[in-house]
Amino acid sequence: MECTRYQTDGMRLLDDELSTEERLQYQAHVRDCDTCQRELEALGRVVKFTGELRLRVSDDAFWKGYWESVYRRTERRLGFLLLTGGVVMLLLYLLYRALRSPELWTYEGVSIAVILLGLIVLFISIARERYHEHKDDPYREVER
Amino acid sequence: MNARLSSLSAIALPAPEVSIDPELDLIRRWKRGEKQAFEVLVKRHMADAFYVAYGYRGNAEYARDLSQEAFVKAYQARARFDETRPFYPWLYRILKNHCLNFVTRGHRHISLDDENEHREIPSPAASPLEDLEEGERKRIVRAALERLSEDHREIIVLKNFKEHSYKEIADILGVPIGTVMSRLFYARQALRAEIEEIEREGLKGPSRGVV
Repeated sequence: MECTRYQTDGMRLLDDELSTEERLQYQAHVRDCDTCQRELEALGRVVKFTGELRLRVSDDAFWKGYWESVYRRTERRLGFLLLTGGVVMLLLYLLYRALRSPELWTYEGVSIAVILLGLIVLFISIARERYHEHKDDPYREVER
Repeated sequence: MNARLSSLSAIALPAPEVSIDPELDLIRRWKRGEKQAFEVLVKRHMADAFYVAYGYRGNAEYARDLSQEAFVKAYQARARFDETRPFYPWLYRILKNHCLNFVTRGHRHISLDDENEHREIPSPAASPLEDLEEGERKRIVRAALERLSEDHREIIVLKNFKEHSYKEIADILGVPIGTVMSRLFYARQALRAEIEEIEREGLKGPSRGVV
């Protein structure tokens, strides 16, 4: 059927992706085909109204601050990783010292040891959750 | 023999040209952790990333946060990046995952919030009535976009929000141009059907049809 041949040409015309020859052929067809003309008009409206959602940022300050914000986020991410690693290491060390020091087995000592153990469990739990989130992420390896 | 060798050595051979692909050099410096290289990459692709994130989320603040986080994630994963491949398609996949995860984690409702408008380039000579109609139309179209499948929404975001050519979209997605055309065609048909469906559901209220 003639119209099937031009199925995507209307869209390509609106997106300015037709060669001159293709455009002339398509326009000649549309002149004589009411169906394709209506389809082209309907598609044109969809493209126009979707285009209205487009945002164009005209504020220079927005773009000027963009890179600085990315850099700060990168720094913070690194800082947080170092902080977390350091805290876990310190807690493990304190727990080790507590277990190796019988004089610390007082009520206060045991309470502090339990708190330290709880903090370690929390950190490990959060780390494990983040790991599983990443591992089970359905979009992690989105293929092209 | 010696005469022949000395005559050969007298021939001045041109030094082999060593061309350094500037993009490859930039990527290598970035992978080594050079701040300046990272800055160049961010500034080169920040608009692309921002508008794509906006296409997925419909909110400028979220779009900025999501696109910036994508750059941070890309930086952290830079050791895994194959420098023989183009950078933007790889960044795009990270960004897309991030935008989709953001949706999955319960930030489903997106808005055309008013704070976007101060950054928009205003329509020339729009009357208040036209503004109102346009606002309502935007809500319907945005709602219809949300209903599309992931593939359909993706291709419309790449085409309509970032205005990539078919060739550029094909490169980003790693598919033939024919696939891009076909996918875009059916995506727009689906969008049109969703818009009509929303109108039938009466979300638009008493105003006249969008399409």
